[in-house]
Amino acid sequence: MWSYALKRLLMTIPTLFLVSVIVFLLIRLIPGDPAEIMLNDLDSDIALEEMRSELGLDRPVPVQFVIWLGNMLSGDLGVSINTGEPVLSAIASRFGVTATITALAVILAVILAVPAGIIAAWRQDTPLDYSIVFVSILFLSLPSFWLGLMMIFLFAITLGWLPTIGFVSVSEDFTGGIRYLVMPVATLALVEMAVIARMVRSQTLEVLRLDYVTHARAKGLSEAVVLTRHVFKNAFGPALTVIGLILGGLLGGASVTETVFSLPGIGRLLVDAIYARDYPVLQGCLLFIAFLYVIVNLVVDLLYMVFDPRVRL
Amino acid sequence: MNGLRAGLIGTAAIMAVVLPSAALADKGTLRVASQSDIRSTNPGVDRSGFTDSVHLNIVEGLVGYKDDLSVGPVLAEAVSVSDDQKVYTFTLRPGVKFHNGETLTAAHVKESWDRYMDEATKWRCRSRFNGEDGVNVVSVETPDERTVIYTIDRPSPLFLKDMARFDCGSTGIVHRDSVKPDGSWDRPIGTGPFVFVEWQPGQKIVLDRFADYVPAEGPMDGFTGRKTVSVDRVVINVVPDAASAKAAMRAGEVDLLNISTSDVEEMREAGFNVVIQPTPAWGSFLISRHDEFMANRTLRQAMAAALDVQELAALMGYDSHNASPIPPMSIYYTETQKKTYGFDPERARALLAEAGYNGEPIKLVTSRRSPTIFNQAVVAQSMWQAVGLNIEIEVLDWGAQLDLYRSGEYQIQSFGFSARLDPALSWDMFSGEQTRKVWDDPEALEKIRLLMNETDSEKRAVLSDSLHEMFLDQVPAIGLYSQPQTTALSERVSGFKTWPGGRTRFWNIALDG
Repeated sequence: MWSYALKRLLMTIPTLFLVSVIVFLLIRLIPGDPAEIMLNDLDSDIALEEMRSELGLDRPVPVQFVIWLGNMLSGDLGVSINTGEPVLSAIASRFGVTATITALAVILAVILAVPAGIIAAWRQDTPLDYSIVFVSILFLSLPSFWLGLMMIFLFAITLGWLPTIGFVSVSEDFTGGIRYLVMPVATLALVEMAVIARMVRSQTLEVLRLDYVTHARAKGLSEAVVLTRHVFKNAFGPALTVIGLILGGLLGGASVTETVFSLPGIGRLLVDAIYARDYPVLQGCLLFIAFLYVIVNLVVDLLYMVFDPRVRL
Repeated sequence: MNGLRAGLIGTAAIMAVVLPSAALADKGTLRVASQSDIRSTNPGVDRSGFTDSVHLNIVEGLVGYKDDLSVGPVLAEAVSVSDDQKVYTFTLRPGVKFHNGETLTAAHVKESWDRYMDEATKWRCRSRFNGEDGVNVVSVETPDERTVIYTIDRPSPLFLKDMARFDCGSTGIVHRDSVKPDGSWDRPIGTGPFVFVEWQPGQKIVLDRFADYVPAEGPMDGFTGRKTVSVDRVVINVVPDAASAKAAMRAGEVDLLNISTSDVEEMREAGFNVVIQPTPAWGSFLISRHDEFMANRTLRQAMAAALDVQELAALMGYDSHNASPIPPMSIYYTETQKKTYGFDPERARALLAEAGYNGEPIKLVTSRRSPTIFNQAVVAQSMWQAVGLNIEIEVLDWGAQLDLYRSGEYQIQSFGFSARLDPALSWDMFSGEQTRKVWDDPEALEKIRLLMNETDSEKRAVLSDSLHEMFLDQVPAIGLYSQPQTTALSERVSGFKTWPGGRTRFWNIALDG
């Protein structure tokens, strides 16, 4: 297993290199450059050229890439054109926020979705099943920004219970931090819960039809034991892949939710960087997100073994 | 059962601690929401319009803009100009303190000026004072602690205005300790009514009241006059989403928010006080002079005649239109500047026929940078279609639109120019030989050159008026309106005043409750 993990980690190096080349080139193909955006409609062409030269944009693209790659290999991802903040520290501070809401949202979604999915399958074609499927489809259909705004309307404007803007880390102020997390975590969890619940339900339905489940029931095992010991383990494997993808996607930036709740997460950092053509931040963020995906997928693959002993890596 | 009861009691206890008081505010804290973040804490160096706005509460220059867009003293008590208009003598106000407690002297002013003029500082306005793109400051002398004498190479109506420019950071005087020993920027230590406390990028900016602030005399007038600070702290939260910012205001978490004109009624109905202030920012349609098809002057005149600009302005929520780049609050906004194209669909149709127009598609570029830029394009499209013009809208992101603006590779753009506070700069912003500029008529350019150098106000007004007559006839762009700034205020806020300069001032504001 460990040699497999090591091999996968080594494979990230060419992957990340490829990603860095693609990202570097694609960003420069978008019309508009950071100097133009910084100067806006003001200033002379001389100022624009000076700004481009200052940012190193007047050099040939391959030269820019080699310089950036060299700096990156020595651990320097550059400085944000937009805020002057070192890219590495910007990513680190923003990732803390994103990781907190993502981890809590995914845990909450799994806690709600897995039992819901199993119960829906177990009680297939009953009102309980229909209710769970209906709620899942409902949350799947709702855009996350709308759900977020409705939560703000209910819990912040109408009831006045929760704050809508700002962020306090739970490590600095636990109670205050929780208040800022409730709505974004709930928004993400409800949408992702729907995805996971439907996946778990369909997998459970397949497993419930297998002979060994009938055999277990024939042995006189209780339904609870059949579901938890025999069905859950076999049905959860494919759902794990989905959870891994969700986790990777959210860690890479839940930009809509972060924007609606004004959270300084990595998704917003990325979106702001796109609009400002903040090349160093864009490159840094996308590379980091690619790295996250690789790691999350690796962890998911390793977890397969835990849930399905037949899997050998 | 006991477990369930304990759980319920526990949850209730947590709710009691966590949930209430979401919207309670510190009594002396002014809570501002902004869709933009600042770019840096370094005035005039790494900037944007909003960045300038924040900086100018922290630092002050020798002079600043007034409500009528003329310039008056700020850190200076008096400014005298020699007969040959080349020597400016600034007498500093006595007892002015920096945020670190040091008293402002002429030496500080010279030191700050030298830092700005050092190429390594990368001050955005250096070229305006070293002869490259404006006057050349020949010398700066400090004969005593309260006197600074600037000598420039030639008379210029723009010298003080350039010094006061927002994008130059008002040439704000910063203490040497604002810079680290290695020469890099640390934090702004100025003389303004607010002290910089912290900036968490993407999150918030915090300013505190400067307890030892020494205000000038006279009524509040732009950035000049008396600045009385009644709030202890200003917290500016960065809220990129407009709907979330409005929701936060409705939830009682925001006291001051700049909103779009389309949100005015909604916010008024929600019980907020909304203040609308015209500014010199100018909405327009730019017509590229690099496009062969649009080189047809009669076609451009037809487009101008087909637009009901007054109706367009009303639909955007503005009181009146303004075809001229000179804003109504300027002393140069004469009767001539009030002239417009004249909405006349019949004339537009006749001009189209005369121009030989046969329904060829014309591409109008816009973006969603602001609701106005996008909406004005949509409304104008329907007005142009009514006279038979085939206008196709292309929506880009702001960066891509700016790229086309710089290159001139478009036909028409829906555009908004940021505020220019002098008639020469207002005309110059779209006139010249650079590719981005839409008006290169030699006679117009000569008049603008004269306007740049003329110091007599009456002669300047005559030049500016004659430019407007030419502008209406040649239609290098279609002027629409001077865009207002719209601010929503919570009921806690009193005394807040907007001004034509548009930059938000946190002084002379009081908080009730």
